[in-house]
Amino acid sequence: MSRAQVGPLFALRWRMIRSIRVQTGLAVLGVVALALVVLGVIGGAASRLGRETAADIGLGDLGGAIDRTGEVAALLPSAMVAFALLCIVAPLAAGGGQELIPESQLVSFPVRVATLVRIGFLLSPLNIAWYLQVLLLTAATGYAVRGVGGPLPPIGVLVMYLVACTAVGQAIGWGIVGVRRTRTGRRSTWTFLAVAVAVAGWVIATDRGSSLLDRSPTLSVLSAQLQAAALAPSGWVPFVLGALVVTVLGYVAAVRVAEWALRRPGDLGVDGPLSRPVERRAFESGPTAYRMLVQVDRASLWRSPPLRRGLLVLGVLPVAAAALASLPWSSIALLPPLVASGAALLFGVNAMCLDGSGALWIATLPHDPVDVLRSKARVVAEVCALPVVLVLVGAGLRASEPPDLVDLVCALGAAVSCTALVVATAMRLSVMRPHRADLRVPRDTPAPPGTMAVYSARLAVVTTTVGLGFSAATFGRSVLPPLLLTAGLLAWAAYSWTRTRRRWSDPVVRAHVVATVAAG
Amino acid sequence: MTETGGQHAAVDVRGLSVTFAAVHAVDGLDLRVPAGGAVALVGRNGAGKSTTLRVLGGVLPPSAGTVVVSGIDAVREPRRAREVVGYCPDVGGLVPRATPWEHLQLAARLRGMVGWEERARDLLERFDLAGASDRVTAGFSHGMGRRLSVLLAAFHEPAVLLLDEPFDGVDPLGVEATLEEIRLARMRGSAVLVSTHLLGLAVQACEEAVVLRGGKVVAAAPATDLAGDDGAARYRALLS
Repeated sequence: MSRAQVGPLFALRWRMIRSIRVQTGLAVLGVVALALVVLGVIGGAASRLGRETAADIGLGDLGGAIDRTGEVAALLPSAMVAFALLCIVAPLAAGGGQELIPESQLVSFPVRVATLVRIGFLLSPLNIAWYLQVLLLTAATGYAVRGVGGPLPPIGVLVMYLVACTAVGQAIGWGIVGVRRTRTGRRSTWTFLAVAVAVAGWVIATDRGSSLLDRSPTLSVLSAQLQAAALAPSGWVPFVLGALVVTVLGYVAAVRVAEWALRRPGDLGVDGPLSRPVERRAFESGPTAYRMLVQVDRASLWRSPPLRRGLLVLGVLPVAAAALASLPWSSIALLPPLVASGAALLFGVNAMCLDGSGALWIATLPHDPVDVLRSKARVVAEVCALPVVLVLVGAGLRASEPPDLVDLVCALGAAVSCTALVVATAMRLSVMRPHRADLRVPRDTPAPPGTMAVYSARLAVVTTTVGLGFSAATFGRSVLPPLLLTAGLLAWAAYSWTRTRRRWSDPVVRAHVVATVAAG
Repeated sequence: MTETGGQHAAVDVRGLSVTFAAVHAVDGLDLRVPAGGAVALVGRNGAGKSTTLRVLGGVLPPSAGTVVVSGIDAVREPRRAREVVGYCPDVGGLVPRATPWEHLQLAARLRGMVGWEERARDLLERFDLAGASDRVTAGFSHGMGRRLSVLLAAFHEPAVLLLDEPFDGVDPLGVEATLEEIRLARMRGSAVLVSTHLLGLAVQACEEAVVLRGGKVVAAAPATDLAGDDGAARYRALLS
């Protein structure tokens, strides 16, 4: 039955995209995303083949094409653990799973819980972190896992593992949603989180990370991949069958658990935390209009469950991963851009939606409209800067080597310039492409899933490119290149911000933004 | 203020047009509301009532025409115009994760009000929202949200009070509080414009009714002309 609902809902969502250009763009993006995975596998395999051929004809390490297959293969189980963790965290942060159409718009339709679960499952690739990890794992498998059967059999094993993890992650995500509907459940999850953070801290502090990962259960996945590559069925068939069983059980469990979670009455009333009074803050002595708007925006941010949850994930996971991995500074310079773009995706790409229908009321108050824009930009900047600082400190303290001046300039330059660039981009999108978004329940996103995927891809491409620039600069001996890069990027961000500000000064543009985010 | 026929027009709209792409939401509308007067804007969905109020509220720039509120050209001096206007939008109009008290704080700051707390508490009491003044508005019922929107519009005792569907989904006590606020506003000399589909309440709240159709004024008459079954029949005839 749920299959019969999934198709029409996807069709409706597709028809809701009014612009043919956007529809074409999304279709192209989907094809490109799939092609990148295929190219990753082919590229990985070709790179290895090229190196081996060069060695066979006596050219040795051709152009530095060093044999790293052993290192990459050794890292694969750890990368698989990271993927499994992501599969748990992503639906957890999304309150069970991603939505195709907001729940509030579907209340009059008899949408089954199984449909919601299935849609969440199908939308997993729209999460840029999920997709990038899949890309990384498939390319690494293509490069490092070799056998007479070519790259496809080990990729098949990997796909089974990815699907099984995603299904189990959905079940766990919905389970936590159900558990958190009571006070005891919420306390238990916080306690569990605190214990998990403490254990992770202990593992990092005592340098047990590597030895733990060496005993990771995902070693069996790599083993199955190697057996599949060697076309030895006794090694991979049991794994594939096991993964199939886990997938089916995970999916069935996700549906049952989701039904339980959504039916559970809980103890927070119909509106949950919304029905509880919040502490009244003193009216600061003589704040400017801008400061008052910032206060309201900050409150709107911290009182939104999806934003709180997203910030928590961004503040903990990358920091723990970076600290655990003990990265070199060339890799640390890559982190701020990625974290900043992740933070902007929480709400920054549609920052005006924080005001909801109140945007209409605020527009009638006597104020400089630019204050509203500046206030939103400031809050977006704070949201981006906070996890960036945390990840820099966490990764820096546990870096594999002590930094020199160039390393520090690169890391700080990446942090400052990428935060500025991401904020400027987010504000431009907020003004040019506003969307109505409630951000009321954890499953709410600031824009429809397809749009979020496009925004993720755009931000990822820009920030990864910039991050690679700073990463490359760490290998140099002069601080001039990273300083020049920082200055250039800041100038770019300033130019983009000025254009957005000018656009916002147009009352017609403002009216469009306000009418869109305030639409009831 | 504009002198019209011996009366001061606190709201003076001439030749107002608002176009969205190919749609004429408002098409050459003329409207005057005297200081201390109350006019009901009535008409079918899409007649241009909310759009007109949004222009007067300073949210939407007009495509053509002049809009003067309390003597201030709302198109040329939108910020000054907003100082004298109080606007209750037709949808929500509330910041979802802010409390009523925080709405009042923000309004007071942006309007430069001093010693506003007493009036704020009084209004919260009268609109039966005192008990919910520190709850975020996202948890409010529709009626509570409407009451708060009216309260916020009236908070600074504006010279022009614009109420878009203020009675929609509101309980009888809330309706009474809104009617009382309209009465007090008129006593202060404010001009009141009420857009509503509830003819009975429009008649109670206003002295004049303006019927819109297709973005144009099709009739203007004393509100009492729309009272009762005969009035409703006359109104229906104007809509088709």
